[in-house]
This record gives sequence, C-alpha cells and structure tokens, in this order.
Amino acid sequence: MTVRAFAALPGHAIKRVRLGGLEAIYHAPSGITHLLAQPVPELLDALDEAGDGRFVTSAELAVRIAERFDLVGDDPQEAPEQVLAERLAELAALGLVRVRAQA
Amino acid sequence: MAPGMRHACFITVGPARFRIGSDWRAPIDQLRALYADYPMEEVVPDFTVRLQGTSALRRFVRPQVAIAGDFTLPDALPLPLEQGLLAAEMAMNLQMALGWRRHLLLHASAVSRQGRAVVMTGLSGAGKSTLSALLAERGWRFLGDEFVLLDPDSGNIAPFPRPVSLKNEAIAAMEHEVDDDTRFGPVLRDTPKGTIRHLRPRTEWIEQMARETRPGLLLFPRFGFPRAVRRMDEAESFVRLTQASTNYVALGERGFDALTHFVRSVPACAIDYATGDEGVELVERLWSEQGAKWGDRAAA
Repeated sequence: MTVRAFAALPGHAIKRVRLGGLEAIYHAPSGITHLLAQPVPELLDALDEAGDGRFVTSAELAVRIAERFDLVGDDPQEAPEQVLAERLAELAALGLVRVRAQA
Repeated sequence: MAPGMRHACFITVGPARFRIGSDWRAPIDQLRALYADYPMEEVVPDFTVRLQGTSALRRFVRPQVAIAGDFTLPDALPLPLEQGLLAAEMAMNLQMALGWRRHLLLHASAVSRQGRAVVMTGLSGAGKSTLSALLAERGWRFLGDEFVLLDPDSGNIAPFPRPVSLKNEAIAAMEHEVDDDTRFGPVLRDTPKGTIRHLRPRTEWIEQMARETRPGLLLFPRFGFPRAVRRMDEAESFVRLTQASTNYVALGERGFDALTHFVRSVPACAIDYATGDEGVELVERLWSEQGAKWGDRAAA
C-alpha cells in the first residue's frame, strides 16, 4: 500500500477564523469558505507545527497529536493513524492540505 | 441620458449613485416625488437603470415596463406601467445586489442609536423591514430596510436609507404610526408581492446618510410567532449571513474578513414576536442589556 504524506498549505492560501466551537476557513485558490468542526482545526494546527511545507505521514502526525489529545475513532478497533489518514484525505480532496505519495 | 431613454433622473442613496431612465414620464415623476429629499444632481452614476417598453407595439396597446440596466436577470418579469415605480425600485435593488463591490452587502434592515446599529436580517416577509420602519418612528435612526452595507476596511455600516417598501398589512400599521401623509408614495395594488406602498424616511435620516455607524447587535426577527428569544452562536450567524449576502462570494477574501469580523464583534439573537409593538419592545430590551455591557467595557 502506498503511504501518503500531508503538508500544510502555504500561509497565503488559507485563512482561519474561530467562530465559537467551529472554524471558518477561507481557501484562497478556490475562493470557497468552509465551516469545519473538531478535529479539523487541530489537524491543521498539527500540520502547521510540523514545519513550513514539510510532509508528514498520518502515523507521524498521530504521534504528535497523541501528545496533546486522546485519539479515538468511532470504531475502537481502528488504528488512530488510519482515522487520521481518512480525515486528511478528505481535507486533501477539499484542497485544504497538500498530499503526495511517500517515497 | 441612456440611449433611447426619453425621461431620466439621478438619485443618490448613501454611497450609491443611480441614473434611472424610462420610456415613460410617470415612473420618473413618481421617483422624483418619493426621493424628493435625496440628492438629485447629475453625477457620474454607479448604476444605470432602464425602464423600457417590452415591445414597440405593447408600448401603445398595453404598456409594460421591463427592467434593464447594467445588470439584468433573464427572468425579470415585465410589470404593468402602473407599477413602474416598483419596477424602478426593484431595478435599483438588482443593480446593488449584483454590482456593488465597495461593501459587503447583507439583505437586512438596520437602525441605530448612540452610534451603534442593530442589524436585522431574515427571509423575505419575516418582518425586518416593517420593524426597522417602526423603530425609525420611535427614536431610532433609520439606516435602511433592504441592504446593510458593511465596510470591509473599517467594519462600519454605511447607511442606505431608501424609502421603505411596505407590503400588505404593514401599510395600515405604518399609516397609523406616521402623521405626515406626504411621506407616503402611491398605493401599488396587485403587484407580485401584493399591495405595496413606499414610506420616505424622515428627512434627518436622509441628510445624515453619509455618516457611518458601528454595528452593535445582530437580530434575526420573525413576525407572527409567539414571543421568543434565542441566542445565536457565531458559526450559525456566519452561515445565515453568507446566505443573506448578495456579494459574499464575489468579494472573496475581503468578504470573508468582513463577515467573520462582524459576527465575532456583535452578539446575535433570533427573536420571534406576535405584534409590531412586541417586536419594538424586544429590540429595546436586548439593546438595553447590550448597552449595559458596552457601558461596563467603557468604564473598565
């Protein structure tokens, strides 16, 4: 199976504003506004903290996030990095994170 | 004058300058009367509105006006000539909704007191227009009943105090409220929205229409329901206002900045009320509660 890696968008491509419990996200390349709930803002934060444009796998990200949050999916049998990989793939489909196949 | 337009006038409302041309004299005369207090100098307009005959033959047989202008909708229906005034108003709305870029446009009404505005938005028929008209007769400054113009740079509201378009039962209610008959336009019956009569704002609010004001409170009023107040969170306000804005998408990042800043800076409530008096009382009460907080903050 190909392992995919993810990276934050450059700062000018995305704008994030907290609105109560949700986050409004403006995606500059498409001009689309997204309103997203937990854990998306936390995922984007973790990618940001990974460093400027640095690609990380969902397993690496899971380690970082586990330092601060308990990672539990709807199905407890599912591995945390698998849950993360799915959420990140959804964000990549929206253009909110970058994705590439890990060599 | 616009090509082919035999009659024309210029009207400035808030920051927007219109040139309205017509094949007929009547709608222009009615506009001049309704907008008597507004600046009418010939200026380079932001928008040109045309009321033109739907065909040369119809123009003589049964006159109808079609709305045209810088921006047009393909399904804009022609209206009978007696409703030319309504056509002009609808056309001005259309130009603003589709063409204005200097402000974030919210489909909303607004009044202000002590330099802070109450913005009221909701579906058509929810009562926001009538409520703003009532408040404007009871000590509030009238900022507009159709569009709220939010400045993306300052976060302020630019007044757009057009004559209020009163519909059906609201007409009698406001006739009861306003002593001065000369402030009312002609009664327009059997329009697509029922009976319509325009009410010109008090002269002082027109004279002050270049003065911007800060937003203070956001309300989502609903007329005709048992009294209720529900606090609305920032995210729900934001979603509802993206839907109430005609140019949010067109403004791109400026629209995003303006709207997120707006919903974070003002408290928001949905209010239901059964009568106009009850609506006024609710707005006054919420305003006082909020005003106490502004006072606390100013004192701190």
